[in-house]
Amino acid sequence: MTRPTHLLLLLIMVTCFPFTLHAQMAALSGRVILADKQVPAADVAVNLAPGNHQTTTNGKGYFQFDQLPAGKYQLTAALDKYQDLQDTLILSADEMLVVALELQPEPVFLEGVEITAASFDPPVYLTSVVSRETIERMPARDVGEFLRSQPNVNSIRKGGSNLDPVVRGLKYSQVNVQTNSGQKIEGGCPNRMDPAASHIDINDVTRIEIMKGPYSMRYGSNFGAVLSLITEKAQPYETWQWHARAIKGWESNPGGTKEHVTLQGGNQKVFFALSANRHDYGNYEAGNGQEILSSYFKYSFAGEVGFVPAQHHQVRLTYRNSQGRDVWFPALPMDERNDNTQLYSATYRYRNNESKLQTIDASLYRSDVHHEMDNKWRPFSDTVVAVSTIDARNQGGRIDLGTGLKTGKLHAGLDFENIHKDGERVKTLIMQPNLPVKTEDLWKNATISNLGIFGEYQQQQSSLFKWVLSARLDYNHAGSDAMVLRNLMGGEMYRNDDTNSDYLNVGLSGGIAYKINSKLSLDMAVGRGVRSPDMVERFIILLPVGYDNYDYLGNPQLAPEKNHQVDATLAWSGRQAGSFAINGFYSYIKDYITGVRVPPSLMMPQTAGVVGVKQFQNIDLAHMYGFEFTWFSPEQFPLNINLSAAYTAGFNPKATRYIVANGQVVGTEIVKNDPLPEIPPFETNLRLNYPLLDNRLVPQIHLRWATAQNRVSQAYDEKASPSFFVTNINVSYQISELLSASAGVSNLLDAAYYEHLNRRIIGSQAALYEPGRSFYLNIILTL
Amino acid sequence: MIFKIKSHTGLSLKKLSPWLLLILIIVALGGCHKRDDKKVTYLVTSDATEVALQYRDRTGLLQKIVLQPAGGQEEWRYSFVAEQGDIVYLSGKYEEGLATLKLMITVDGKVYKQAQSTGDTIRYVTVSGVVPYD
Repeated sequence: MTRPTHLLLLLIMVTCFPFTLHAQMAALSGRVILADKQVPAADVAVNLAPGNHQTTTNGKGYFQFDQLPAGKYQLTAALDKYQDLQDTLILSADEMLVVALELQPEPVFLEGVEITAASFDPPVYLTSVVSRETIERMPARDVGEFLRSQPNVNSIRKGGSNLDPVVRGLKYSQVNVQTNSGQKIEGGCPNRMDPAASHIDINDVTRIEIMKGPYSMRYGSNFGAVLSLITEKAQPYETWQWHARAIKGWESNPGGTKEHVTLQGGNQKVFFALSANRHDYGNYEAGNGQEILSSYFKYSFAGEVGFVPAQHHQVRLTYRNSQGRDVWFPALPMDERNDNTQLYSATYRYRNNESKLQTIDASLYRSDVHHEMDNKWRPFSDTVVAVSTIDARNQGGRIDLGTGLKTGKLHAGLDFENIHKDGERVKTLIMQPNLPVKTEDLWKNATISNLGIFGEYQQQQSSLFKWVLSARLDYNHAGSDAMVLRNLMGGEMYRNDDTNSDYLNVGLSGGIAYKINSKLSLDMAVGRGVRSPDMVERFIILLPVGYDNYDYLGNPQLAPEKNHQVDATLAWSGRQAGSFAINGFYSYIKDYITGVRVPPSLMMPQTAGVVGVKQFQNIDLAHMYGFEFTWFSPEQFPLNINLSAAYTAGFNPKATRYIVANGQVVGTEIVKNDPLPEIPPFETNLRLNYPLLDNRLVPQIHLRWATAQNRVSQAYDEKASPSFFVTNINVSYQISELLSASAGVSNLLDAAYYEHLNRRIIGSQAALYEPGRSFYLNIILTL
Repeated sequence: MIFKIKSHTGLSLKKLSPWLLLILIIVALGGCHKRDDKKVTYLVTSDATEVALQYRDRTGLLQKIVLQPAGGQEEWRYSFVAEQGDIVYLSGKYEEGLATLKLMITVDGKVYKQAQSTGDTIRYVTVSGVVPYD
């Protein structure tokens, strides 16, 4: 279970079962869920030994033991047709321990099942998890778009799909995006029209884990946020059987459909999963009636086979193929013509709680992205047709060993990542005699390799207090052929042979979780996360890849960014008031990477319409801070209410603003405490749902309000954005055991609005508006 | 230790073949995404004695030919099938001061680009673009 889930459960339990602890006595309460149906388990026999304490769960799955002497207990939960669940618990005096139990259907082959809580232990670190049920309830077309529903998670829109996630104002390679706890993807486009998350179909995702802060060190370099997309997995079964799942979705704006189908099957030794997806969407209409050219077509398929060579051991082989065709990006100078992404992985898993070495997680992966884009749909293709073809490869692996100590757990391991990028842009000057063709290198065999070792130790000091320490050491090497830009005659306009760099990065973190009393808990974490510069920052050659209107030049000698961050979370619950949690964070970033203008005497821009050239440089420091707040209504309320709010701000203490007049830089000025660019404004969400028909029919209303963002960067010539208010309604209905449906209206009031992070329409200052009112229907079949 | 364990239950395939069939039908409803082929025609009309012509052919290569209308009105055509997004290019130049050159590209019979010059012996007349996606 993740930390927020634990926390929520704790709060709910406290409100549902009021009791008083007596001196030197302990209490235990909990909730039992049926794992296969994800519903409360009623009438479960719960026993506690010694003492032969017995009870059964109520209709909501809750149970409770009071007046227990402190000591060690054996907990057993049993229900017909489900596996008995046993666990050892230590109860301290004056403690109320809350546990969450999930019963597995009987029979099940335990060796092969996925232990989903393992990926982001320990829960001391701030982690939020999004379930498949939540994803399916919404008209989700894209991972980045869906993530906007999470507090302090946003995304940058450049078209109808492929939104780029932003977590607490951190973006691009500041966010570690991976799939299945380790596999990374390097997008092809320098302008990030295909960020890593866009290569994973949202309908294949069974869980999204969002880890905020530079605290987890076990999943590669972590500068400030990790997004892990867990996809459909093959599962073992006791006897040979097959299962299927299908989703068909319709949407009115953008008009289009999506399809998803999964077939799973196998037995105890060999098992498999096959899935396929298809998305075909047209342009959408904004609330002001403007048609946004944003149509796209994507499809994907995947296959996974797993087998159990011996007890405690499991191996999985996975192949995933994702294709994109004719994807419009009105905020970029090009559109995606073809994308062919292939992901391969092999994972090995060992679990044995009886041995000294309890867990082994090892994996190897390779991600190949072949990306083609062009400007054929753009007005300037009347004179120059530009076609870019890029091959991006990310390959690597990791091994993570875990061992249980007396009251602690130690993980240690290493990971490796190698990124290689090569590509060119072919410009055909179609209004010139002899049809001249100019070929430019976008990347010249650019490579980044990172080898890291990590360790993490967590200690359950007492039932009230837990702590964790993590560390990692990364060796990062990058190199490329000489960065060269030539003119039409073949002469060199720019050359940089100094393209190699080597860095040794140290990451450290520590955290505590402390239950102050039965209602109040405090979590704190402090950490240092380091990221080496990415491909664009190191090796790009004069392309307008930034937010502002400049050509950007890479800098192979950039130093890594270092994020020093502290997080504190205070959670409180009361029977009548529900549960509250508020988190605050502060980040002190050294060697912050930003663009610094290069005088035209040194470098002239190559893109029409830009005002100059900027090169990536380190500046001394930048600051970021913010908070997140959530409130859940008490469990006993028939109306479920969830209120959340989030805010992030950041600033550069000493920025340089370039004054532009008539399309040229005519001067500079120093701006003190200039806000960092592309930081979303304060936002609050209110969700209300009222379950009916024994939770089978759930109507929901979602109100979202974002303030205007007037804290904008002068150095980046960033534009302020107005506030907006959006209303969404949804009804989900479990029609039968096999069939469910979800329908609703997004942007019910047809508001004309755009997110602050949305890029501007290319070649203009016009905002890229969000879709207006949209009706949708999803039908889900589970066999 | 209490793990959260994910698993599946379900019915056997034998009982569910109709449902699987339904799934396949649902997926099949989606259909495919394809780019259309278009018929492209280059059309040259001139009364010049000689016209140096360049055009991008069906294979993507630049071809150079010389037309000799021999002082009378002559029309030259070249047609091929192209995929949406393919570059189309037709360019010509003549030497006589009183001559006229008209170039046209049609796509599926509709005029896509056209240009004309009279008495301009300096500049090339060029029509070009990409086969439109609509």
